[in-house]
Amino acid sequence: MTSTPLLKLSGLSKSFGAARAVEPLDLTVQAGDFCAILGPSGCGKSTLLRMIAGFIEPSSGSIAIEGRDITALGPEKRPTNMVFQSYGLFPHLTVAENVGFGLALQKKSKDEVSRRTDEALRLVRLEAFSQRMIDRLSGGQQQRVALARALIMRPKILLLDEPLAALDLKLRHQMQEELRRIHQEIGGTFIFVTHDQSEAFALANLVAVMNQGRVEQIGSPAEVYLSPATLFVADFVGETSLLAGERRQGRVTLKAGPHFASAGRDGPVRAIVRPERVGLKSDGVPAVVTDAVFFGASLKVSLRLPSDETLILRSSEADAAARYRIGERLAVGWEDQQVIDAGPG
Amino acid sequence: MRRAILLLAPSLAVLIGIFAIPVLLLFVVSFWSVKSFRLQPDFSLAAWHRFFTVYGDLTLYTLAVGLAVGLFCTLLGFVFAYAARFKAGRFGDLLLVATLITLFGGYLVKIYAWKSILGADGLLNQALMGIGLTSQPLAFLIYSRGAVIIALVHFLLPFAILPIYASLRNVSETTIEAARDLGASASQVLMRVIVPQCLSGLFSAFAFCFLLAAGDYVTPMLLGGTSGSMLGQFVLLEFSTNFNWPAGSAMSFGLLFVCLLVIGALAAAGSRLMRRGEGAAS
Ligand SMILES: Nc1ncnc2c1ncn2[C@@H]1O[C@H](COP(=O)(O)OP(=O)(O)OP(=O)(O)O)[C@@H](O)[C@H]1O
Ligand SMILES: [Mg+2]
Repeated sequence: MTSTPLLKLSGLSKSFGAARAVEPLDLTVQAGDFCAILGPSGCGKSTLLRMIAGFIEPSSGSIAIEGRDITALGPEKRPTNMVFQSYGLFPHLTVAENVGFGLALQKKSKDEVSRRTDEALRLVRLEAFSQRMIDRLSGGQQQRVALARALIMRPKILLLDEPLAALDLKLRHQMQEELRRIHQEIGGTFIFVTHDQSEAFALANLVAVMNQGRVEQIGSPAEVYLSPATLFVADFVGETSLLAGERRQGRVTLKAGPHFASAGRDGPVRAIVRPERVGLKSDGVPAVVTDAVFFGASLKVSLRLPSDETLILRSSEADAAARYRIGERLAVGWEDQQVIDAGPG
Repeated sequence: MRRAILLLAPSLAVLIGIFAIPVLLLFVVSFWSVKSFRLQPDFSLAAWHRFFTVYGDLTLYTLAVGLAVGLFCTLLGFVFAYAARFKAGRFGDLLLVATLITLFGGYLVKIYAWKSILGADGLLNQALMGIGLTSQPLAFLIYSRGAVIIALVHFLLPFAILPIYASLRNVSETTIEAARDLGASASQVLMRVIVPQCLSGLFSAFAFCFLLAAGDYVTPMLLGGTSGSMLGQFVLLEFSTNFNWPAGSAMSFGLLFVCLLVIGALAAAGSRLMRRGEGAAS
């Protein structure tokens, strides 16, 4: 298929004075994608999203939607709509007036505005609140008004800047479900920013991991999780353990003891070990349990290895709590690991 | 509830003692009469009759000046407060303070400053004659309604800027960005997002400037000449030179009532605008 992508960022970057907030990056998003921009605080996620929305002028590069260059257009002329982290709802208008604001600007007929407002409110399940003022809504309800206000415009791309960050855990999971349902129902294209990797994996089919203004990896959640491209991604995504080691002639020896075959350049490496792959192994590495935290469905165990490194283990067996008591000495092993060149140091 | 009333009692007593009672007494005086420079405590409508017949037109002129000053101040105040809030970045507060310092300042100083600008041998006439636009000093510049309005606007502008700036501070940038994102042009952002969110500030600014301007008598005395006179000057005249307290009182209260009527009408219109949403919310 050679169709033009819905969104194409080419060499897009932004500097504030001398400080680079976003390094030049390329990103392609296809119609129907649910794309997550994932990264720690201050890595440039919002800056990137606001460049796509048109609020920040890029220092270099271009933005094209369906092959048309829109880099020079203001936000009011772009086929994108945004859900702001602080919502930015209009306090002087009712819920329905907030949602209908964009259509009313387009001089659509009263009938159409009210019909589509009802439709949008139904989509976010707020029909009963249409006549409320904004300050009489809960945080989650305000969040949904902001969503409806953007969705009613039928944007080619819906941009969401940490839309769920202000909500408590339960509501956040609920809203994640809602977002997924809405995305499927309207078949739109969503790009959302988050610093929560579980949220990114729960929602997106495409994840871009950012660090200090750079995109470190773009891929499906499985790709990013199972084969991280850099140490940063491996560390940021999931509760992995990073074990130091050295590669010599196709064989890696970890400081903690184990050695295994691994093709690649000689030099220092890190082995990435997933907690759910770790288990008891009679001829394994000796370890001491330093911590055990119960998470309902599973037990998260921290183990100290002979190399003084920490290895994380996750067990959902029924007798896990009895087996991994703090101070207990065990022998552990893991099924497979991924090796990344660590460079000197 | 009872506790609240008890706690309020002392301040209410003071307020009634030093404000309500004298005002009420003065209002009663407007129904008295004067015989050979002595107040007669009887019931007469002569003072009110005099207010309506002799000073009716002047009251309307005074209102017109008040409305004009109120409107100009609100408009200029909004422009200024808007620039300080949205265009000056983090220097907004500083800019505001600096301007208020220069704008506040002697009331009489300002009037005399305008006298020396607009007068027959003032700055403006000198300049106009200097570049040859006129051969004679323009007499209508000073001692006119226009001069009074200019000086009052200059004097009252800070009182308009302050409440408008305060209410603009509460307008969040995100609402403006959201409006632009939804396709609003600059003027639509202004009229549909910014102005509706600072209506209360605009209203206080207007009410303040309107009331102060309509009640003023010093500015028209010094800059108004005969064509720019206002009711306040004649209230003073009735109280002092004519020793006609009932007439002065009737005129004061007459003007007060008309002004309150104007403010009330404006407030009603404003709250009807606001209520569209509020009423539905409860
Ligand atoms: N207007 C600005 N002027 C100067 N520097 C800025 C500006 N906006 C952002 N920055 C800087 O650019 C970097 C990226 O900021 P950005 O807001 O994009 O981070 P973020 O990834 O969204 O973080 P968070 O998760 O905390 O919202 C930060 O170091 C920030 O200090
Ligand atoms: Mg951000």
